[in-house]
Amino acid sequence: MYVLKIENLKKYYGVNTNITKAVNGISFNVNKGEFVAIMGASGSGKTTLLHCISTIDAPTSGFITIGNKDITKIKEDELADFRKENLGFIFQDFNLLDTMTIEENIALSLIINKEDVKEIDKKVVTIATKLGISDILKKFPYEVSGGQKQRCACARALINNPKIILADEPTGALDSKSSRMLLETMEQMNTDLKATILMVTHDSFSASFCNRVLFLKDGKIFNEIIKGEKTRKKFFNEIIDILTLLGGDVDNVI
Amino acid sequence: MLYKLAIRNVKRSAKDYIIYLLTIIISFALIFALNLISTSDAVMKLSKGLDTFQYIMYFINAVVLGVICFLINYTTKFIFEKRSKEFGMYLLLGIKKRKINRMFLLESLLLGFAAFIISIPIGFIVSQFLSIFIVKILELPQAIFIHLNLKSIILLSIYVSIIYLLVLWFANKKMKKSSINDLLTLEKQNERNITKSKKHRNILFLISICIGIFALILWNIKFQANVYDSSILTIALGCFILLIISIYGVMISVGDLILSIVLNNKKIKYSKDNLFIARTFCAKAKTMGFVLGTLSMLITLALFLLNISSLNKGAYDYQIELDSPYDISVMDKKEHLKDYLEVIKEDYTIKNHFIYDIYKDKEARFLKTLPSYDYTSDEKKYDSVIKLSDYNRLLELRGKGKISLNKNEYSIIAHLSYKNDESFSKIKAITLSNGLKLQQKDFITNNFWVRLSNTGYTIIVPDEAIYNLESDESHLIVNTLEKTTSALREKIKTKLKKYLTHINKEGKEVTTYYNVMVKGELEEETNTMTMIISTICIYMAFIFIASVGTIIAIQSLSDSNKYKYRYNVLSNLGVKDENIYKTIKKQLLILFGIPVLYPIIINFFLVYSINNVYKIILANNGIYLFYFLGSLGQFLVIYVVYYVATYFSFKRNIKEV
Repeated sequence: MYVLKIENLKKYYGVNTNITKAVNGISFNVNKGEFVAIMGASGSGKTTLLHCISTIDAPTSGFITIGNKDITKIKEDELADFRKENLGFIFQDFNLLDTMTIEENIALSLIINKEDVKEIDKKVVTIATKLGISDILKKFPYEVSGGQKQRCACARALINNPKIILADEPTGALDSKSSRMLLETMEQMNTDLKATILMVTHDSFSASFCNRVLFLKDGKIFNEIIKGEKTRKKFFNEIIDILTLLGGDVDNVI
Repeated sequence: MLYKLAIRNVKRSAKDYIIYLLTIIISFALIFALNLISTSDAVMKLSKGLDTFQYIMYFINAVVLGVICFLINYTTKFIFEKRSKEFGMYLLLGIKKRKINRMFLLESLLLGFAAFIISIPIGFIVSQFLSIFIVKILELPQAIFIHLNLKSIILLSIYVSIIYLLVLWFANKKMKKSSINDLLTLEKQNERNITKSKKHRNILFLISICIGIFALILWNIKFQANVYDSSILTIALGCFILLIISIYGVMISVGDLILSIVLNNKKIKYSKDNLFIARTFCAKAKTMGFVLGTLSMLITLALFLLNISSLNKGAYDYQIELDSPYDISVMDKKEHLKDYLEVIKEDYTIKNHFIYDIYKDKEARFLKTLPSYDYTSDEKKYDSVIKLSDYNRLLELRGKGKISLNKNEYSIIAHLSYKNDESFSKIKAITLSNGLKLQQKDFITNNFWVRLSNTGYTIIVPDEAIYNLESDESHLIVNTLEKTTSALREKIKTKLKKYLTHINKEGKEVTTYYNVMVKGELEEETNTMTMIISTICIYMAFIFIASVGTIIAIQSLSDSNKYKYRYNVLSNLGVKDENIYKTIKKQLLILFGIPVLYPIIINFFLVYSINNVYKIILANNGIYLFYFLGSLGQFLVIYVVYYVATYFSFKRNIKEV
């Protein structure tokens, strides 16, 4: 059963003769409980794709179905509710609100939507414990490390029990140790909490944690590989091979 | 939670925007204080002219509100842009735009409301100080207490509501228009450049300067010619519009000009931190050229208002010196004068008094050069002459130094306008009607006063030269211990009506009350006017300057967070703290200084031209320079406070971990 279905998605920028085809006819599905990575060089269209799925950007044509809803047809007014119920977000630069504690950041959307206070509390503590940040709940974002901030962002993304979590280069601002810890957390979210995750990254190491990797080039899907029963190390090597085939971004390969 | 969040955000904003908050509090307080004064019955009863004040205030407040609205709108927009990413984040988390919008509006309102509440007690205190100022200027015996009144509070709340309705309406529109994508990336977007290429901007700069020069020349020509020309208002307004266009043009293009000067000159480019500072300023000027233009325009207006205020004050002070340097002066027949003294003595203690005569020189050597000679009746065709000893005694009573003359010398004391009259001032040697030949020693214009004699000039001759000259009129001057008031003149007018009225040839009664001058009455009239004009000018100027200072402060402080990183790098590279502070100081100085330079130049020329009109009523030709510098000083006092406050906040932001 798929959670996300994308059909012939196109997103063009610019006017008249000067058109950039950022996403040029992409179709794929993400099934429930999958952990999918989208890879590609800079400018290959991966962030645009993610923005379209996030409802941050409207596509030029094509369909995006999340759950049973075509999000390209949802009205601006209802989008907020849709996001709240279906989507979770993790960003490269955390996007935590610095006037609020970690706890309040995690609970923000619940609080603003006026859910039961006791219920909120329970949810926050459960998730924080699972992600190993229960001891920093009362701190403010500027008082904790980058890795902890990103796990807080994960908790915030999880709290609504969304259909799909969209992660945009989540390890981009972290050192290698924190990156590894975060990826393990996300892996745990995927296996233990059955969260469906779609992650955009250009880091092969991050991608090797996923079940499936899609490669984009010039706004189109170039290749797709599945981890299956392979070890992570083998999967990692496969990813690197494909990136070499893709060419261009050799820096990211090494 | 929404409210909790809003309050928390307000607290945070309050720290970041303390300069802005203080400015709007002071602005509201000033509006309130002036409202209290203009609605206070006690004050309005003081002087006849004051009720006009009330009506003028409505108009002035409209202008001031416009400027404050600009300031608050600018800051709100600024805060909105700073926090757009946060708003985008809320949207992503599934919070409805309506709710976010409501939160932001609530925050702005809370800030505004806090400012409004705080401004009331401050405004009340300010009004008491203003009342002391009024009492001092009108030289009243006792202080007036300004009562709080509901009308003023309501008026202020209406003003504040209007401002916030407008501002929130703008903010609401902006929020509605921006999509989630806009919000998430707004912070990274630059404001658009107004002109595209460097060349265009340099051309724009030249054209703007030319427009400015043209406007100033036009202004100068207009103020050379007859001021009472009816077209003067239209022309002056036209000049102002041209100047405003020129200011905008210059401020939009000046950044590039500075940068190209720095880049093209290696010596400047690589000396000290010039390159860094020029680049920083240029980046600012390019993106906020239009705002800089508005700031410059406000500075120009503020300086102009301050100049007008000083010029006016100077003109009025001088007018009093010119009209009535002594407490009381009377011109009448010699035998009447002792009666005047008696009337004065009834209410006042006489400090000193002096009676002198003015003599006729029927040769009328000076009068003949004047166009009025032809239609002066024959018995009035003479020049006024005064004895040196009398004149010296008069000077002595005013606390001025004596003058001296040799036996065959004379001096002439006249109004400045006579000195500018060529045929009048070229006369050197004269022969009095008693046949005595005298050479001119001095042409005196300072210490001149209108009522020295009946004519606009008086010849001062050695005492012995007066023989055979007919006495024309007698003058009495009196200084009293107490301050004179208009009541004294009224009393003299009724008590000595017999001396001050006569029946003319047609059998009509003619009054000559103008023969009596009482300083107190003059002061009351002029002081009220001076006070109204000064108060309004200074009030408006203050609001303008404070708005400009605030906007520049907010702009620079928002950058300080970005600079924190740059300065950390510099610091890690081994640049000493003092050097970093020096660079900050310089950078802020440029940002604060550039919008001021052009307005100063413009104002100098504006005032220089206005002086052509004012110089005949000012103490001397060059005094406008003194006033110009004085106004500049007043301006700088306020402006520098903003500069210093910004510098320290900037430093604190950088030091903060």
